[in-house]
Amino acid sequence: MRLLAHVSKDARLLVRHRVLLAVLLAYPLVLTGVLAAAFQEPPDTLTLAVHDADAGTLELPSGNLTTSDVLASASAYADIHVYPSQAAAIQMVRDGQADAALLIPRGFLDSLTSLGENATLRLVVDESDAIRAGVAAASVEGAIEAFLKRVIEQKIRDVDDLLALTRDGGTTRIGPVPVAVLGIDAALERIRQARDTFARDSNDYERLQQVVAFLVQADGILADSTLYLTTTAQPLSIQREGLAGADTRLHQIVLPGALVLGLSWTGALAGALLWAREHDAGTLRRLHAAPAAGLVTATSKTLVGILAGLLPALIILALAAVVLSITPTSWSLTLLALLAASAGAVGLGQLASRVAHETASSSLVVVLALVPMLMLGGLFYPIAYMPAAAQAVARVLPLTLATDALRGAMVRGDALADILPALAGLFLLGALGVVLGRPRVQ
Amino acid sequence: MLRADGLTRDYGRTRALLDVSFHVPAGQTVALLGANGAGKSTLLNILAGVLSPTSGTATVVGVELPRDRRRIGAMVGFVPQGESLYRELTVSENVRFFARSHGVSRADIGRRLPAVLERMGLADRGDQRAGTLSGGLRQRAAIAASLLHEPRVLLLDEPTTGLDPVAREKLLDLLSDLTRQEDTKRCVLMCTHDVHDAARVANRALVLVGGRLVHDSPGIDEAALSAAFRQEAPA
Repeated sequence: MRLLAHVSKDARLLVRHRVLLAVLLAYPLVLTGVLAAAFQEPPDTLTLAVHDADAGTLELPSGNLTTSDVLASASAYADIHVYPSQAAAIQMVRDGQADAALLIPRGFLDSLTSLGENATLRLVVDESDAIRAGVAAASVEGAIEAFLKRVIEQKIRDVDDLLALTRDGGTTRIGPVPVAVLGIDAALERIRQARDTFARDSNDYERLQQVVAFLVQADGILADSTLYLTTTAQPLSIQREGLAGADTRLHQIVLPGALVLGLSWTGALAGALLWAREHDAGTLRRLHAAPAAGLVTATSKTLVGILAGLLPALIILALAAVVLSITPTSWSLTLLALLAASAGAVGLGQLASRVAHETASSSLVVVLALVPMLMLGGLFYPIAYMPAAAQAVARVLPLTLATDALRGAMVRGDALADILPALAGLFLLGALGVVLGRPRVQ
Repeated sequence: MLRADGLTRDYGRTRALLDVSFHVPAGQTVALLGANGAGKSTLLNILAGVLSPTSGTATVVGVELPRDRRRIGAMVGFVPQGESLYRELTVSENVRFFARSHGVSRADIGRRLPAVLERMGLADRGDQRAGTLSGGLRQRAAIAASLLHEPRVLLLDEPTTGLDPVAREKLLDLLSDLTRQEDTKRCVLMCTHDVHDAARVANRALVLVGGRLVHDSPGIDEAALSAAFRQEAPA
């Protein structure tokens, strides 16, 4: 019953303090609104600045290819702008007006036909804008891959035609002159007829029989080659999908991070400020003087802090479901992860309140603790790319655990067992906050 | 009712209280006098169970400190120095909360609250937020918040500090009435650095200088207290 009195008091203190209410509850909503407005799916079409220095033609029996075919492959998802010089194309990237510059060197198509020579295209991106550069590079590489696939398919078709001509016979052209090709099958038939005019035990019969056997073997090899070309030698394609199996949208990927930001902000500050306000109001000594108040007071502040942290997160989650049609892969695990993340954040704030007692200093300690965690928590930069020592630290930070748990529950389709270690870590931090976070009277 | 035996308290290398011993029987109102830093608040915090002494013991209504410190809350009403109310809560909400945190039932709170507010001159202020009260009213509300659990010992830490003369006199009147009306079951220990305040409310005075108890007299002799007050701290 005493706990209820404390919870009721702490909740009223929070709700009636307008500035605190705005800082704790409204700020995460505004922040998420700004993020939602700023982030959108990447544009369907990129802007590609092209300089084409190759005037050549790739001559294939089945038809010629030019660099226009390269650009045609890219035009499916890029607005192509051709520039007369490499410098002009690169300048467009430098000015931010193009996502990438594609530079086709002189002799590019010739090198495609030369055995042992690599045909090289230059792709210039603005590496200071890593995400935009990555998207542009991946898109253009996809387009080049599509062009190469077309070249290879055409070459396979030409070789297949030649193999068919060799086996079945027909007419081809050597320069302007049409040439009739007999073909293995017809030659085999004629040699068999010639062979049968000789006696079976004669030397002539035996010689022609050897030719027949050779041609039969060659015909089999050509058939195998045709089969190889039209099946095994086809270029590979990759079908990309997420761990949850579905094609995941950018907003769904970003949402856990936004929730972690809001939760950590509100939970940690609530955890710290609910104690700091006792200190500032001069009521801390009164609470310490009350019988058995310590654990009850700390538990009350933890519960109210968790609720404060959950409130904006649930609003954000509901808005994401209604406005953006984003639903987590598991609602129950998502709610559990939100609860754990909020408990961890409150615990962090309560531990901060042990270090700094007043509102101003405890807020500062919370911000000082949160900022490096945001940098290292995997929200902006993959933890796997960090040095080993930084990874060891990053993986146990509360923000990392919260991000991992929420991504698992909302995006990856994890089972409870997969995110249990992260949940346990967060709840443990919440419990530590209750036990250790109480400020001492000086 | 209240006994201190050789209480000493150090803050790091600073000695705030040294070998303080005294006894206050029920029904007595004692003024604890001393300059800033004399150790008055430290002594009150120890008697309220908020701080532990470095050495020595105290007994409050039969409960020994610091050993049984958690049991002391129900018997002591403690009004710390400065504001000790939630500004966002109303006077009634503050009083109710502190009563609940001292284990008073809802029924008892409902029964006792009007009388306590009436006694502290706050009958018409119950629904007003503490943050909107004047300093004098806020101090009265803070005292009211320490009365509802009917403590046997009331500890007041400089209740008149920061009040204007009118509010100060009004509060002293109320405290004087409060101590006079009380039966002999309760004792009051009030910190102050003002001899006049002590004379208005108390019937005994203790003077602390540099953490030592240098004066203990029944009755209030303002001249003697002023002289004791001005003593140099013993080496």
